[in-house]
Amino acid sequence: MAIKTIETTKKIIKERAIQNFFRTVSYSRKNVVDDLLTDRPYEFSPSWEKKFFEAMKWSFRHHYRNCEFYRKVCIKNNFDEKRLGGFGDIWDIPHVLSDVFKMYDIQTRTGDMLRAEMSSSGTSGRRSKIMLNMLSGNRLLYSIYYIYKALGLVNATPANYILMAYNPSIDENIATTNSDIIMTYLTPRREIFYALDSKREGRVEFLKDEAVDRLRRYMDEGLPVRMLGFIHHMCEVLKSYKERYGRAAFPRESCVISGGGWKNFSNPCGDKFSMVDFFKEYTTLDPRNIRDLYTLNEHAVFYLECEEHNKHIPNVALACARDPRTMARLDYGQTGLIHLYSPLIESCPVLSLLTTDYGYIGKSCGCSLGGPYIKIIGRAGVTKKVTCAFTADQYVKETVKR
Amino acid sequence: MTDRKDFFKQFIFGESIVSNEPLSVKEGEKLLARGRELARKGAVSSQDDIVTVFSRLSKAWSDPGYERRRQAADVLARVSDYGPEFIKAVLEEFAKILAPEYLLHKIEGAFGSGNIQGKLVAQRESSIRLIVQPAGQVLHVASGNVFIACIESLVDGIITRNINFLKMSSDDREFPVLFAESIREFDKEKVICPALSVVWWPGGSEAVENLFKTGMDRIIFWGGQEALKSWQKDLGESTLLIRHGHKISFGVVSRSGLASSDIGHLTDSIALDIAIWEQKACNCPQMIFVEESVPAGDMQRFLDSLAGSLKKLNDAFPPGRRSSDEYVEVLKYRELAMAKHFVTGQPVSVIGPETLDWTIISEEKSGEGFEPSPLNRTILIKRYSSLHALADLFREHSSYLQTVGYRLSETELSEYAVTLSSVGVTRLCPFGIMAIPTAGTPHDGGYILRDLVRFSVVEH
Repeated sequence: MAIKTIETTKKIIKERAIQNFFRTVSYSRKNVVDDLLTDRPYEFSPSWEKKFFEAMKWSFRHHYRNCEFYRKVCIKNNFDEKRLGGFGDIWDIPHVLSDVFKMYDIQTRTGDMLRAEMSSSGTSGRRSKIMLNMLSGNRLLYSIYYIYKALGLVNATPANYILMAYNPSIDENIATTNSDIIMTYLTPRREIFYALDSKREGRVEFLKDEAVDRLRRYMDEGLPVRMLGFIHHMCEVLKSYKERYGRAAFPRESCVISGGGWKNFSNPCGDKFSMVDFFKEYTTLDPRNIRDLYTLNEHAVFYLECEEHNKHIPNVALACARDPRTMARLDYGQTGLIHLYSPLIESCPVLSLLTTDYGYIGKSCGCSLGGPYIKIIGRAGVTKKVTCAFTADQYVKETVKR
Repeated sequence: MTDRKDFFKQFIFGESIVSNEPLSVKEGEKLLARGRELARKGAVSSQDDIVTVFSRLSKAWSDPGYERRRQAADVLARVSDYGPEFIKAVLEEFAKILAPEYLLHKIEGAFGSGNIQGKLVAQRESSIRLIVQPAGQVLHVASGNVFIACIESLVDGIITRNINFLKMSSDDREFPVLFAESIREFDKEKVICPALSVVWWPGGSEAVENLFKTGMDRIIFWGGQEALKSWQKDLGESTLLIRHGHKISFGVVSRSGLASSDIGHLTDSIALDIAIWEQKACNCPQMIFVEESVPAGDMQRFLDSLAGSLKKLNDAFPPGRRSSDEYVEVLKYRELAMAKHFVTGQPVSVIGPETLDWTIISEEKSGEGFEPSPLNRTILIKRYSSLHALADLFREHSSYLQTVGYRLSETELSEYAVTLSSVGVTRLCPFGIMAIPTAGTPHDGGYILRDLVRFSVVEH
């Protein structure tokens, strides 16, 4: 009972933290990391490199001192603070592979005790778990808000929301659900519908028909509709909508922001699936209002698409692609494993995170923001070759079956 | 849809046909009708004549200057992911699997007699005699990982006097045709070629596959589990599917076995088993279990020596092409192993070059269990407390178990063999020959040649 009360209290605090943040959208500086947080997330001023370096150095020192796991990683790689002499040295900060967080609960000691657990949606089989302290959470909220603002998605007109996400009453720790909830604060909220919810029987289901009905009602209301969350479920709803009512005529200022779940979706639709083409076929949405989001539970910086559909790297992060064999940093346009750097999170050693996603870094986008962006190609590390040797991924499948 | 420029050869009853489209349903129907007609006429030649053709072939392939051998080296370097040094070494040995003595060993191992055609084969210690007849029409479904496996399967089908069809893997649509053309070169008397076809269609093409599923007497399947599932569906009433799906192999080193070893020789043999076929063959070890009571110093010497052996082999036979995915899988294993060490404090060592060419991941704590490796010369060293514990570990995976390479003392071998075979292991052999089985021995728990024939029994 006591545990339940603590959990409920945490949930309320988390909800209030988000609400409170969006009431004021303010943030007070704690250390050099916070110098990175501005209302211009895509501005790379001459002083940015220095600020970013100082923030990463601070973050490195913090995790090195307060996370035994990360300290061991650094010792194994013969890396300590002395190696951080300038901006270029950031690339050498030892990484932790994102999959490690799927296997182990790793945290960094911080001053504040209150932490929110965030888990991934588990689309690739295992869920990763990250603990966010209040400071890290607030930094992320601040960064996210201004990212959306810079990309023209913060609006004063109320909107109805259809979330292809789990109702937070089922599992409020799922990171994608939280990201989607955060996005509902970018406009005044009229109504929110969760498409992954439990019916009377208590089993969690994809409420496709209900989502279609709700979408129809929102269309009639005429307020902007924002559809957020798993791309796979969005497509299913829109296909079904088209069968029943024809192409979905979204009210003006409506938009779609997908995120998460694309790893599952890429298989049934093939590698050539184009989100923009799909939405053009099934909706009247302006293609500029169709945006995909790349973020990870383990990293939490938002790489949101601009109107040109490039996922911009905000100035709170740094990214490169690496050759999986040699770990060499690749040039712009060359595909490799995406490696992300950001000092924002204090409570988990994710300042240098090697992902298992393939992609490349584009040097400069043609949109008004300019600047580098990430192009995600797909998920790495699943061998497609047929072999008679029993392999690890087959073992996982067999184990799951049992 | 196949690319217009994507021309490839098929081999239809002795004729090479260039095509840029996979085998169509219409072509498949014609092929099977002709196969049925041949089977009805009993048109396949004698075992002696077949062996004679293979004898000529074997002689030709043992010559490094043989044009098709040279072509094979080029083709395999292009279509397979193996390094040129390894391909050269395999082709050096290739002639042996075609040699009459090898083929007769196989036949004798499976049937107890070297010549089975049209003869009554007496069964030891009983009055029963057997007549061995070909199964009829046989389809061999090739996997892409071990380019020799489908050739051996085809040779098995030929020496048991069947009408053979080989479905090439999409990864290699050249070497099997090149081999068939090599047979034709030495088959002036048309002993083999009129009953041999090598064809291709993309896996999962339901309409074509259904023709074969209902038209064959036997389908010999080599490959992974997903494709196997598809081949298991909708088989004809008289079609038997012989499954060689995915399997796992491992090694066992006991304390007394290690103590009585020449450690350098032992680890050279283990390294060969690991590196051969880049572990993509089902009989290559993915884990080596070392008895827990092996003293720390000996264990370290074993690991150091194994690392030295893998490095040596890496110099002689550098890894072939690997995909980025394959590198990432190895990288993940290495990183997760180190994370386990850092988080749990359990002693885990990761040994291997930064280039991921080969990797040893060694855990000192026993009971850490069954864990397939990411392949590509990645060996997981585990510890076991007793033979009983080892058997328990493998019991629940019995349907996937295959070869166990061993270094045991003479007195241990029998007990290990009985216990491990009881949980599903189908072959035990010393290290160094895990991927090179002795001719005439069973595979996956049965004799392949027996699956390719029909027995009639004669009783008194």
